[in-house]
Amino acid sequence: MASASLTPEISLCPLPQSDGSCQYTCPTSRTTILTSVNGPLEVRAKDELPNDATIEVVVKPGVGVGGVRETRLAHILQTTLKSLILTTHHPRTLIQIVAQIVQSEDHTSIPLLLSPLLNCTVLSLLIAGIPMRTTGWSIHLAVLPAGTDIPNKNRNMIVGQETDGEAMQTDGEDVVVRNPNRAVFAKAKSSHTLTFSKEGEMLLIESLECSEGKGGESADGQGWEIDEWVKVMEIAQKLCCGEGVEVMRNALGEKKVF
Amino acid sequence: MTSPTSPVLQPRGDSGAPLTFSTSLFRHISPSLYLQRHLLRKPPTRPNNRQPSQHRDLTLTTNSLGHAHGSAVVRAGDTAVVCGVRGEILTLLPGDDTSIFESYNHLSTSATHSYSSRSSGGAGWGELITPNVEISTGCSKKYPLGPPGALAQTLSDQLRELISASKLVELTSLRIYDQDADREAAQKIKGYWSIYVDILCISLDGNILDASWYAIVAALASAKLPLATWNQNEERIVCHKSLHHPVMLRSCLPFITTFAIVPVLGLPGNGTVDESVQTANIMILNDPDSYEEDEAVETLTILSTTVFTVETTQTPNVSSIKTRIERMEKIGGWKLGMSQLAQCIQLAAAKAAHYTETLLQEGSWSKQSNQTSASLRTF
Repeated sequence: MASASLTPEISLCPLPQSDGSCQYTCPTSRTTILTSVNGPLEVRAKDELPNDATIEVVVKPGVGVGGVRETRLAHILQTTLKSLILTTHHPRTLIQIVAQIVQSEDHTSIPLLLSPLLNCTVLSLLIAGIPMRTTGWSIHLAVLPAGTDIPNKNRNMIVGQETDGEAMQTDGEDVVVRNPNRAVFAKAKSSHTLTFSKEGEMLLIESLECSEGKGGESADGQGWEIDEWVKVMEIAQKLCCGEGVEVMRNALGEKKVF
Repeated sequence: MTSPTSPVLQPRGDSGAPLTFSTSLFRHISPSLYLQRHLLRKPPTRPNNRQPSQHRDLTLTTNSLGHAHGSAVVRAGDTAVVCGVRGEILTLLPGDDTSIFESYNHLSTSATHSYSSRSSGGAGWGELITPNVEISTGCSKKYPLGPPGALAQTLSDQLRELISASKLVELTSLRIYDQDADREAAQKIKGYWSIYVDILCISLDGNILDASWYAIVAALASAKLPLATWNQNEERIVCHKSLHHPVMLRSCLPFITTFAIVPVLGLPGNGTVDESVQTANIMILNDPDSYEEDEAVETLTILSTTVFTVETTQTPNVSSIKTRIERMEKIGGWKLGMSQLAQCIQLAAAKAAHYTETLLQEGSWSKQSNQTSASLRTF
């Protein structure tokens, strides 16, 4: 039961006019993203690249007009996708990706938005038939201090407890939750958005200290050591290459895009 | 550069002499090959004569701007930035929730805040420190004059994120009190210093993030805000004519280090054409210039603090280095492995040591200054 609720809701081709589109809802944070991909299209002369396809990413906010945050998200998406798409197959063309944030608990938070954005975009690229080197899957992990009280209804987010929610967490160890919602994320001390390719290559690292505090000298000693990070990275790699690939395969099962 | 980098092309015809062209032309027509030829030399040398792991030395000047409360000019190679820090008074209205100003990454309970923050150019509601980067100054031919482009916006947002992740400034030191009131401390707060951090890029030759961050830290460390108090008769905040207090920073300063990862085909050492070995053919360039940035497939930035424990019994050697990472970003590409990441973290620690040394030489930052400010606060 618990594991079923961790599968994202994916609807393919909701926009019939675009070459490929996808709507993705994160199972736990309820962030909903709608993306459309068009390409290869004719490219504006100033953006034309002689050996590669130009990739344009536009992120549309859920509230208000696009600002600094959306530009940054688009930049992260664009650079990540550039390494996934075989741009040399369509030189002098444009691949246009538009991502609309449909629903989010916090429209300004990069950690809450980035991983659904990436997953949704990769799915719509596959539907659009854009040649890709491999596929990628992204996950947002948050590390909570040991002993943090997590409401029962959110306990399925804790990594390692998806199957039996009754199991007690071991004392003195940090709790790792995946794709937390805003309320759980507020208690986190660090946030890690990690993206791995199907083969387990590290595509994107977006790790951030995000604990609350008044700053100054009280902030000395915060952050994490590399060994702690590696543990989180390994969890993410396992989830992306196992579950993530499985989810993607199931979603695309009938489409026969591969 | 000399002959190994100049390619010799054999013309199609039988006219005899091979077609050669100058190194400077080679640099322009085939940047990636030019860079690769350099990195394949023994020892690998970058076109700018640096080792791959070598960063540019920094020069720092603080408080050169008269009108700002604090400022710094940082130059690393051909990248130069000016950073000005200016405090503005934010007067609290009766009934304002002060908890939002007192904490970084504060999650406001009311949902309206997350929407209202949209209007303020990316900075969240309640964020007292607002960075802004200007690169359309003619600093590079790539960024024409005009409204801020994607890079300037991304940089401003990255710096905002860095400030809130590192919690650089102690927010309680930005409080403005009512001195005379004998109510509880929380009720005595009448306003805050809202700090605007403006960065102007004078010359851009890659790695503007490191230079900007270093300028921000140096400018904030040297900033002196006027002593402001609430005047009960006039019912407004007034600044003292001559008394100033510093902005309190962390005692363990966080520094950022950027690496560019470039693919190098046929790197010596693994001559096999095996696919798995091919993926390891990358070279990590510390502190890239703009020529190298253009060729980079991956960028790694690490924000870390480093604590050096010096063994006094031995020769003054750094005996133990403890590095804690507070933000790590890697975008683009797929070739960076764990061993290279660990290597980069070590280099980041080395660069942090260099940074701290320069900052101490400039004399704008010392642990004593933080203590004096603490005593001023109680005044």
